[in-house]
Amino acid sequence: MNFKAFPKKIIALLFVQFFFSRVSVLAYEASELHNSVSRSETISNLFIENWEKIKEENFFLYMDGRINKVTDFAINTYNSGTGKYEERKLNLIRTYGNLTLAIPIGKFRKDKNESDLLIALSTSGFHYGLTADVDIDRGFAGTETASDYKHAQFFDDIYAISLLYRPYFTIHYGLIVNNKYIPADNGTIKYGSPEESHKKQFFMTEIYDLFSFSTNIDKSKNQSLKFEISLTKLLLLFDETYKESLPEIKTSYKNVAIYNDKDYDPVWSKTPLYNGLPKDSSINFPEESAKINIFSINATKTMGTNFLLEAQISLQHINHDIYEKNTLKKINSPAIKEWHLILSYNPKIVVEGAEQRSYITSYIGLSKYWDPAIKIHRDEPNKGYGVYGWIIGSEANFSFIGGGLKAMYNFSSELEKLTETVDKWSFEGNLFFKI
Amino acid sequence: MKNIIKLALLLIILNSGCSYVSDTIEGKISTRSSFSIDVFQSGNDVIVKWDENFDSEDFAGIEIYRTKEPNNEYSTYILIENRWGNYSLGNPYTASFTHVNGASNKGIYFYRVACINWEDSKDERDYPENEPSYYIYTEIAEISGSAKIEIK
Repeated sequence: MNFKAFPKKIIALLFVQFFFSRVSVLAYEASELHNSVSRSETISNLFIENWEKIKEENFFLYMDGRINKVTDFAINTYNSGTGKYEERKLNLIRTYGNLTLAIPIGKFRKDKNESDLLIALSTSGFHYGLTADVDIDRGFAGTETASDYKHAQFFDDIYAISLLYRPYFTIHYGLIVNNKYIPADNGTIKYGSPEESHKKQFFMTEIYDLFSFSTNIDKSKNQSLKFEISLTKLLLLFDETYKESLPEIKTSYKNVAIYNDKDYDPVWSKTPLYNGLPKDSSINFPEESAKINIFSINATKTMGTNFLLEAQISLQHINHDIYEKNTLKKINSPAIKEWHLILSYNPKIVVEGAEQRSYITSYIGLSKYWDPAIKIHRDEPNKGYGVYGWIIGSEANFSFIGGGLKAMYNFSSELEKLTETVDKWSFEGNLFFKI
Repeated sequence: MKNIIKLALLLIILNSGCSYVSDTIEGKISTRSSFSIDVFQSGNDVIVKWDENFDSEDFAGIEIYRTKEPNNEYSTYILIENRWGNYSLGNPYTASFTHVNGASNKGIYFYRVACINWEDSKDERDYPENEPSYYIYTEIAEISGSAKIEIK
């Protein structure tokens, strides 16, 4: 079996095709993908998420890849044969890749209580884009499916350098590059000359696994800020009496300048009017910005020997009024932005001779997520801005290699990455490898 | 180990970004169209041209497709010719094809060109590289984007 055939079969299993047949959705143009602020948030969050997984481990090289597919995006797409825009079902493909090289100054520590000094170089990237399936009838050789790029394609990357003095502190500094390409009419892309390009800086520091701070900076201005405190670890510094019984609690605060009166934004900020008329009736209306402030509490607790429960609630405050673009009505945002519960089953498997425990985890979760863009993109807008969702998945970690598979429907973490996936199935497979 | 680390370092320094690498892998899995072709009319024929080198150990042939229905970019593509009907399509350096009488029906049509590879690597192929095997053990390795022609 060659390289090409093998992943095809894996992916065929991963995406469980029977899930894909579902009712069609209303046609709309892709829009929120254009928001480089939220895309920068996504890529920096993925970078942090990745480091959360690997920061305790000793490795020289770590590679991770994910493919996420959402089907049934009914998009008005130009048909060059008829000369008209027609509703066409497209696939949203999101791929993520990470490569981290760690160089110890001296030797890796042998125990978590020891210290060591590492320098790491990383590159992480996320591609978003819509693709169209093309049916090819090869005659006696059967039918195959190819794909074309359709509409704008987005490539976001972080290039970062990290300094880790474990277990005391970690510093990550990186450059985020957001590129947008418009494919040619024939469905191909010529890389190297993006239609739009943004560069931002990313900084994160973590002290003794207790406090962390991260920010994305655009042109010397903070686009987002995040602080996190691990309350349980802080408490245990003073009193270890309840070490086994306490849940691990983390609190975080972040603010993101998310609404900026851009075409792709779902709302108007501060006021819907300019000179007494809707803002978009003027070409040069002054763009205003609204920040969202989010305060979250996350708790994880082992239950028995094999179960782990994670619960999170996020409260929000938007610093200015926001208004629906189509009705100009003020949106009253609820206090709760998001909550989720995830129950994991983790029958630990100890692999003889392995440097650490290998495991297989299965999980199921429920969530609720609120966002002004949900009403625009959901199948039935009259259902409002909030939506319940769920996730089911499994992960395997065999120390040096592993992977996972998950299916999501309106799950909050997925909608946070891209609200346009509301009311659609999303499937994700990932593989990692480390030395 | 040192060589792997050097390779990784080189990848990080020279990499155009992991987003491109991960997309390239997904593109290979989903057979993403990856190169451009030109088509033009010559009398009653349609000439298809491309500028790709398909040479590899796994190369099995070149195939030419056209949309089944006129005036529909998203119609199924059907096979116009493969190496068993046109000997030159068995040569990986071939860069053009003449669709004889391709302009006999009016309408807008779209063409594509594909490089076909054997599914298994050379040392794993336990079947003869003949026409029956071709129909069973080959797949599209690369495919062009569409090229439009309006036949009046």
